[in-house]
This record gives sequence, structure tokens and C-alpha cells, in this order.
Amino acid sequence: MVCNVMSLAPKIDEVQEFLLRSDISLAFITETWLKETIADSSVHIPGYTIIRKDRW
Amino acid sequence: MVNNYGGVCFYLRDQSFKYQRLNDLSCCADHEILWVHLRPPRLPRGFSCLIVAVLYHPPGADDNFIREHLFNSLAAAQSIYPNCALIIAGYFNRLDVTRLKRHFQLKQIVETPTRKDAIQDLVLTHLYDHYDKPQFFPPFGLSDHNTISVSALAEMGRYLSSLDWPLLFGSLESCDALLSVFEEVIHTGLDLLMPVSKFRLNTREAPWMTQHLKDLIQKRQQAFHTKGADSVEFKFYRNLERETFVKQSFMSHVWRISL
Repeated sequence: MVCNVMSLAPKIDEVQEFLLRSDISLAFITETWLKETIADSSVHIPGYTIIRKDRW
Repeated sequence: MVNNYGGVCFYLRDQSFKYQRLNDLSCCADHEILWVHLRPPRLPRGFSCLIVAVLYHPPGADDNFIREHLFNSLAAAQSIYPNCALIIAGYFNRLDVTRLKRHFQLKQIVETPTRKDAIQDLVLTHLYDHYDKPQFFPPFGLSDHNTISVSALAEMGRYLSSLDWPLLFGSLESCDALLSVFEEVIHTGLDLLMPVSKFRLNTREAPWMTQHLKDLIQKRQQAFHTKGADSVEFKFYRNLERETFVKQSFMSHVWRISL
């Protein structure tokens, strides 16, 4: 799955719903707008591992 | 340009892959690209592993700079992991990837606009034969980019694993009955997913003499007889037929050479 989400944190529930329902094995997300201050736990999706690269 | 935008990430389903982040492939912090090496349990024949990258190429960034980085990183990936399959996806924002595709034999599989009327979110991959056409979903929230979903072509496998085998075989006792049910199930699947199709093949003709080309020749002859050699119709079909002939015979040669 590929998507430019334009800020991930507020849409995490929607993204989670999509990944689980469509049984996605690998998701490519751009424009996460995540910062160091946002912990992995707040964008965690059960059953998935996140690998992030935040802007600077 | 320091702001809060940008940033890329992957979500990997647990137990699907062994993964390893490849920081060596990112030359500097200026590109928003994340490289990951994956070992899925199954891969199409001929590929040793999967290298995936998610890219965000922001508006206003230097096209040549990111292209150069992609060339270097892809070349490095292929030398470290020979026969790796590549998938690079993300927001390319009008970046011209023609040379990149040609150089690394990649194919861009997204054919429908993802943002307004432009295709800006691309998927470049070696595995194009193994995936269905991408499906499109509405954007998440107020984002203006559609979501693209690509699923693997393994219809027969999915069909076979969706069956309740114990239920099918439970009531049967003899081997012959088991075999006949099994054959019936396989044939039903094959008829549904890979139906036998008929096509005509004349072994004495050149491979590029397709039915389409023959029809064009027929039309050209008719136009010649009914409208004359100087008519617009004749010239139209003559040119079309020549064009098709050259294209198809050329493609046929290319195909033979590449075998």
C-alpha cells in the first residue's frame, strides 16, 4: 500500500483500519509529519512494526 | 527549508518479513528516502531478496540531486545484494524517472492520477508481473492524495488455501473418490482462473502476421479497388498497415534477441 497521508498521527486509526481490513503486508507512507517528540507507541498499529525516518 | 512537513515510514506486518534497515544506502540527510532490506518467506523465482524504499521528493527540491542519489543507491543495492528485487514507492512529484526505469529495468505500475489529475505517487518495481493492477482508494482524512493498494497475483494459491479440505474429504473413504474430488476441485479452479483460450496460429507465417495486420491488408486492398490508388482511404490504410507491420516485425525481432 502506498499513500501520502499528509500527517500520520491524526489519521492513525484510519490507516490502521485500512491495513487490517485489506490485510496489507507492507505499507509505504510519505509525509508522515512525525517529529522526534512523537513516540513510536502513539503511531503503533497492532501486528505491525514501524520503521520511521522523520524530517531532520 | 526546515518545517514540520515531510517524513517517511514503513509499516511491516509482523511475522511476514525479516527486515534490516539499510542506512548505508542513504548518502546524506538531505534526501527523504528510507531503504529497507526484506526477506519474505517466499519470493518469485530468480530473486534473492527484496529491497524496498519509500521516497518523499518535496516540491521545490532539486530533481537532479535526488536522481543521482537514486542511481547511486540502486547501483549499490544491486552490487551488495545481487538479484535483489526492488520496489521504490512514494511521492515523486513530477520527477522524471524514465532513465532510472530503463537503467534498472524497473516498471512504473501506477497508471491513474493520484492527486487531482497528476500521477505523482509512483510505484517502481521489478515484480510487475507478479502483481495485479493497482487499486485506488480515497485519501485518508483531509489528505489530497489517493491511496494505492497493490496485491500479489497468486489467485490459484489463494483459491486452494481458501478451501476447507477436511470438510471436502471428510465423508470420502476410497482413494478413487478422493482423487476424483481433488481433480474436480483443481479443474474448477483452473476453469475459473486460467480458462483455456483459443487462438489461431499459422506455423508457416511470420510471427508478426497477426489477425489485426491481415485485416488491415484486406481493408487496404478493398480501398484500392473501390476508391482507387489516389484516394484518402487507400493511403490511410496503406500507411497504417506499413506502420503496424514495421512495429510488429521489429518487436518480434527484439523479442527473439532478448530470449
